[in-house]
Amino acid sequence: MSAGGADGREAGLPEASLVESVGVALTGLLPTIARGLFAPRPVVSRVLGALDIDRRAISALSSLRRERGGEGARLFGGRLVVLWGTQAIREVLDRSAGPYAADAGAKGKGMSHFQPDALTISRGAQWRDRRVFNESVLAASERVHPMAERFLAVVGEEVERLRIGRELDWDEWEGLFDRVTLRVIFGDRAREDQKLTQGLKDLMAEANRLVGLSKGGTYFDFYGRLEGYLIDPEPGSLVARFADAPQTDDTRVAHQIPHWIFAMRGTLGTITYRTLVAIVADPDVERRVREELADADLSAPSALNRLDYLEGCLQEGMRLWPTTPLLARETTEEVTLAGERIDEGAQVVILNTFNHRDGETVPRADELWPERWTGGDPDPYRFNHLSHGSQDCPGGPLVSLLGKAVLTRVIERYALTLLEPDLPAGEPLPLTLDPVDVRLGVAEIESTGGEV
Amino acid sequence: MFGRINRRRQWHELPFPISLLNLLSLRLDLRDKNLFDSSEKIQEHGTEEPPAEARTARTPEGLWNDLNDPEMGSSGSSLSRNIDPRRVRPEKPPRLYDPSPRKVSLELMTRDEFKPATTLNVLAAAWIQFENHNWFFHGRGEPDQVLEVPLEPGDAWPEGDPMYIRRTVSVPAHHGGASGDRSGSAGSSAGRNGGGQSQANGNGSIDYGNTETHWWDASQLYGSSQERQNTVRSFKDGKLVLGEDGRLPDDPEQSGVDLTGFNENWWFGLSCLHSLFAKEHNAICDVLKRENPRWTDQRLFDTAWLINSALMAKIHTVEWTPGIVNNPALWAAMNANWSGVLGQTIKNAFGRLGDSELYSGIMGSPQEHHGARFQLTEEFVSVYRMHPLIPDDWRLYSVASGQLLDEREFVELQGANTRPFMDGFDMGDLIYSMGVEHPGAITLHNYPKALQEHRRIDGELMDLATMDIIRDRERGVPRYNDFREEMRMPRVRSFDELTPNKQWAEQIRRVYGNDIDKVDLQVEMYAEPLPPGFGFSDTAFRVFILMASRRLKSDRFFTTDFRPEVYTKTGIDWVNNTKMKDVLLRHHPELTPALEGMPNAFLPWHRVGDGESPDGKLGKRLAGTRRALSAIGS
Repeated sequence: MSAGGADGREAGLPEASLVESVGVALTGLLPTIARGLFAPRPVVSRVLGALDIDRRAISALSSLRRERGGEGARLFGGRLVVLWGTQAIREVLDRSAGPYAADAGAKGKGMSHFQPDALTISRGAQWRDRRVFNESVLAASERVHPMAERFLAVVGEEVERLRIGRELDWDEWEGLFDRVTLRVIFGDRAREDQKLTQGLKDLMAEANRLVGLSKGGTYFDFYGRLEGYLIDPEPGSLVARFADAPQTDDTRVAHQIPHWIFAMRGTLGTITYRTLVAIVADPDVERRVREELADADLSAPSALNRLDYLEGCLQEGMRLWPTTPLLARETTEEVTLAGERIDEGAQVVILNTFNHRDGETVPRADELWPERWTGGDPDPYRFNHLSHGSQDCPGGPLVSLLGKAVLTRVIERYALTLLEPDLPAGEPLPLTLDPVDVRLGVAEIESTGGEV
Repeated sequence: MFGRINRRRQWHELPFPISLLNLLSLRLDLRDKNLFDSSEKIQEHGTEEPPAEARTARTPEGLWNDLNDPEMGSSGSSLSRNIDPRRVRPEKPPRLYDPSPRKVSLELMTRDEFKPATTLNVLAAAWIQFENHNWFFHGRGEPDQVLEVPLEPGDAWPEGDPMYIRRTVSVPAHHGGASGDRSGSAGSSAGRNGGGQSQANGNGSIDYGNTETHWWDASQLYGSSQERQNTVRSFKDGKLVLGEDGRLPDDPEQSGVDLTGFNENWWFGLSCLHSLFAKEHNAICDVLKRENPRWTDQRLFDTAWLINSALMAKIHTVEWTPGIVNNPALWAAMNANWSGVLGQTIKNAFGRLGDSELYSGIMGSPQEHHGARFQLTEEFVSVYRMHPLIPDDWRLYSVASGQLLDEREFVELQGANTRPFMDGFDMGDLIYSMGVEHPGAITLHNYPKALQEHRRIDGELMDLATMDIIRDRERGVPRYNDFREEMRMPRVRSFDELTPNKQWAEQIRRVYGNDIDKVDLQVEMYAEPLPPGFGFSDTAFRVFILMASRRLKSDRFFTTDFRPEVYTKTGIDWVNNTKMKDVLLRHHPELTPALEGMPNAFLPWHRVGDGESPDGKLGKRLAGTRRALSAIGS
């Protein structure tokens, strides 16, 4: 069923022409794969950035929506559905891991190479089983993780131990998150185990290929190393929570960990770095962040939850440059979506790069506007950087806690100047912000107390 | 040459002719690096003149097989190792119980449902136990020398916490050398061995004595001591004692069990095989007597013994093994062991082509110990724990009609119940029932329940699965990863690498507290991905390819003295021309319809009567196997 709208445009999921379909695929979908689904490919990203490919994707989808309206569009005769309406997105994400499976296509294939039994590519009973375990260990439903106090101490120590000269670069930042991740998940004894994280990086880089993947030495080395930390788990680490978490033989507990590693180390590292850059780029925003910090007593973990403005900055960092550029689902049965019948086996895509930056539905789309998040999610199911619905990120609260903790410690400790790139306040922020292109000037602030 | 390749690919992952070469080269490697004397070196020059009779006959104690080193392989001599004894570490508490072997038994071994090994029949299961009883026994231990296995809360073990298991005490191992205490060697009359401390060597590991002769001499039938052998002989025409009904006599000391060379762990399958080969012995005697009417009882007995034991070794090598390890490279390798890569036909026509075991097989080549005295090893004992082969539920059929006669549980047809149970059936029907039914697959969750709570004939209650685990630990057989390393196989790194079965990987991970290096050899041999066609693991196979050929190559009666002057021409022909099927049909012609066209008696037989026979995919696969085996045939 597809009903004609009052203005002559269709609701539901109108069909795009072949030319439109190809346009969207070339600008919105293929570049995501080309950039590396699991590990960034810097050269490709640079070329695509020079082509301003994301802007082209946004304009292709905008014009499609202008022409046809609706909650999204069916491309290539319905084999591919791109969604932008929050109603339709909700329908999909609320039934994710069921009729809308996340384990299909490139994501499933690639992730199977390094985490074949991860929650995010599970479905049905196994998904429920693994979800309960993840929620339990990550304390998804608690505002403050039970181990938050130690985690903050870890962040504090690691920021303290940073050896920064006059500039802070991405390598340094990545190293910081590497050590925080290892200590939070496995405990202090893992701090220097860069072999472990490198093993995962290698596997993820292989997974980018998507074809000709087979499990070999790197895989077994990585899991063997990881399992070693489950023997006598270190108190205060996430793995120490395994003993009390619900689990069965289907849970595959070791296989749940890699996702935490790359989400905490790579994804959160990137997010906080970009957020920091965006804060520093706008003196007004930076001033408000520092004021909020100055007024807060940060000795207790719960205080971090009251940093609403900083929270808004972090959310904006994720919205502006979503580390998951698109969410893809495959229908496991025939479904009705936005009132339309969709065949089994269709790909349903939620393009965050478009939905988050679409000037027609998102006010001040290209600005860092932390106030947007005051009072919670301004437009549920519009911004899906941590996804929504049944498969929302169970690590969301932990991400927010650790992200704010790092930002807080760094901002308290250093005066920062953005040297590169040039991001003048008031100008639209770019669609891509590659951390390796960033140069931040730093100077240690003598007394804590936030005098700037 | 294969060292580098094997770092990436195991032999069975290579294409056929290369996999065969890889196998043969592996064996050379293992011979080089995995044979260790537990103490004394080979005695190269004799100090005593061998007794004349020992030159042409086996002795009950296995003495004088090597004429320069008379004690080698004799009963009571110590089991040695396939790993460097300097690295052997018998486990002590707390490691001995970490994790609890009973937990391993209950959580990883317990049979949830019977998983059959569909390419085999139950006779193959009975056969390997029959052969094990030929090769080794550590003795029954002492009731007051026990290990205390802690139980988990809620364990329903009837005798409560802890579970007592007799530790290995064994017979006092003597190490050979002419001064060895021969009188201490094995009164192998089963279960009646005098106990005693085994000898500790310099490294804290213990050399346990083998109550049986190490040789492949059919001691399960003929005993491992003169005293025992005398009880099974009729002393007339060289024959063994057999009743009119074709049954062995009842053991006066443990009624319900047959009196034979070795009768521990008795059940009807063993009884059938012991009876069958006692009949074969007597049939050989009949022919020898006909051809040599003036021979004494002793000479008839000795010669029939040689022939019968060589026949059993041959059946094991060219029939049982290719049956359980259903792989072309292995078939070729086993036949090469026996008759050489040139095959039996050429050997029959032209005789041996030189001394090379490669071209003309081990049989008749010169005796050779490859630098270490011939002793079976603790590792060899370990890889032959194959208890999952035993079904819990038994169906008994008539070979005449194919009809189901009865259904029984294992407990009813073993121990003291064995003979009373067999009284109710024809032996042909019992053998037929084993021929058509499948044994259990050697995997996790397939351990017979009957053996997890098994009351021995002497009243002792035991969980054999717990015992299988603790025996390895106690005797210092390394845990899986260390074992692999000793066997020149790469260590496994993660639980996922252990097994492709994800649930098993999880269960093993949980039981072993995430510690891959604690996983027991037994567990992993049951969980390991098997090479194509294999009935047991590649890890077990390493020990097997080393020791299987060694059992032949070290034995004077399979090598230097496998010749007509010792065996008689009739004897050599008997061994060369007889297969398991011939033995079965000679004594049980009623089995003919079930065995019609079967190239290998350890594959599932035809079911008679209702025409029920293996069909569909399995049938085709078996037909393929049969064709291949016929082509290779001996």
